[in-house]
Amino acid sequence: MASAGLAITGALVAYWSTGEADSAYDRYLHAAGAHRQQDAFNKAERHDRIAGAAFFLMEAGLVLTARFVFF
Amino acid sequence: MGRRDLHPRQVFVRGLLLGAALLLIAACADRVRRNPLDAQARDPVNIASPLEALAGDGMVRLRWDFTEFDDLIAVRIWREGGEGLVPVVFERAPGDTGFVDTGVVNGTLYRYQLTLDVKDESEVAIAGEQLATPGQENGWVADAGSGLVWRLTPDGRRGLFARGRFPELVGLAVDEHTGAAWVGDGRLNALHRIDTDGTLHRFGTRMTAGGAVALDAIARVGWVADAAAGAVYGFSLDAEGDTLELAEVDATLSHPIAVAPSPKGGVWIADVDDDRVLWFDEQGQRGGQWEGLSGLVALDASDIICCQAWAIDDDGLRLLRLTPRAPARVVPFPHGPATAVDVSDDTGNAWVLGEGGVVAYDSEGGILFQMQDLPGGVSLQADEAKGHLWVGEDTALWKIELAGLTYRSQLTGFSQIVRIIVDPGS
Repeated sequence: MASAGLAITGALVAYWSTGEADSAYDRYLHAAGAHRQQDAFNKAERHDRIAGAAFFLMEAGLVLTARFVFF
Repeated sequence: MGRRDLHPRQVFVRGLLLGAALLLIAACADRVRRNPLDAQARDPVNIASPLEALAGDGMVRLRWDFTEFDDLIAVRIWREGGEGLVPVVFERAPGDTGFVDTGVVNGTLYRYQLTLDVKDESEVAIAGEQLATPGQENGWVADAGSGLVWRLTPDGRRGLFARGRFPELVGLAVDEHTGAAWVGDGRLNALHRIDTDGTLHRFGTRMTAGGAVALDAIARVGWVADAAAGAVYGFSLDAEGDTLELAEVDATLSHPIAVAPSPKGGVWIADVDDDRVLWFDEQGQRGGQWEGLSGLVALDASDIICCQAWAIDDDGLRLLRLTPRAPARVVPFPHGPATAVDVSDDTGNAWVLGEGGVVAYDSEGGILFQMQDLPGGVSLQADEAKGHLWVGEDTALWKIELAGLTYRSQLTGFSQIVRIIVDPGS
């Protein structure tokens, strides 16, 4: 159950963070100010990393769930 | 098995796996920064042409587009030049993309620059200062390489629009009454008229193919040479519809390459294969003929002052002055070989372009003006009233200020200019 929860939580966080990163990158592309550009770009990268970690956890959860269920 | 019981190799492998996982996560942030070469990602500071300034008659039309940026408070346009040392600032809303500056004086050079007022930040200056000199005149350029006829801004810095494509551009003339340009093409049996608003009218004719075109805006008559058929035709400049009635000049011609207007509806014709120039008066009668003019290159005459034409023959080595009831008179040209001649309608002065410079002659052949070290051109037009000379090279157009002999502007990007004409405006 814990491993399945880990997979679902990872998927949800990854989904949310990818959306935030895309939104921040879009703001970066439509910003004329240098500071606003930099802030938006940094936020996009940060959310990309969070999404990457969440995907990693999700896949670890899937592997563990498969191990407990089938082996 | 506890952590302390792990073999060092196991610890190393697990550490390696953890590090690889962290690197994988870091690599997930693969966003691309804005690139000035990336059309999808524009940075206001790196936009190649952020502002366009098109000079007109008593106004300058400005265009820009920053509507994609959502953190702008205002777009400011700074104008320098003219009276007063303090720049004039026009503030526009971020969503605006154009503005017509009517507070300008014809003939004055203005500089325009943009700045952006950005939310929570200081004002951002945008590179790319634009120059504009409003005026009444408009140049037309026939670019045979691209097959386009361009209408230019009064200052000759930009093209307003282009029409075409014409397969073999030969003739171009402007109707000073309406400002429209007439185009003759060596592969089309139709004549085309381009109005000042860019409307292209096609007139079917009975010509074999078009050629040199000359207009007499006062008599409202135009002339077109059909070199292939050995004929010259007259037509009405006020024609409507899609077919043009042509009246053939009563002469047996071999290969007419140039035509020029004569006052009240007369015409001059240069027939290169027969080595002669002919003049027909306003009654359509042959008033003069000059033979033995081999290697004819160009011909022009005034449509106001009667009756004299200037011709270039001997492949550019001789400049001739032709008047009825007199033999051809050779006029010394110091910057030969000559390539083009333009006779001013109002004064009868002849402007001759050679590989080494330009010379202006009065109607008696006396030298009025000389300019050396000009780039070798193929066409010229003098706008004496406004003191400008327009010279076309193969790929560039120069507008020269006669007072002070300064290069006023240059427009490049053409592929093969064959003709330049100027509508002096009202």
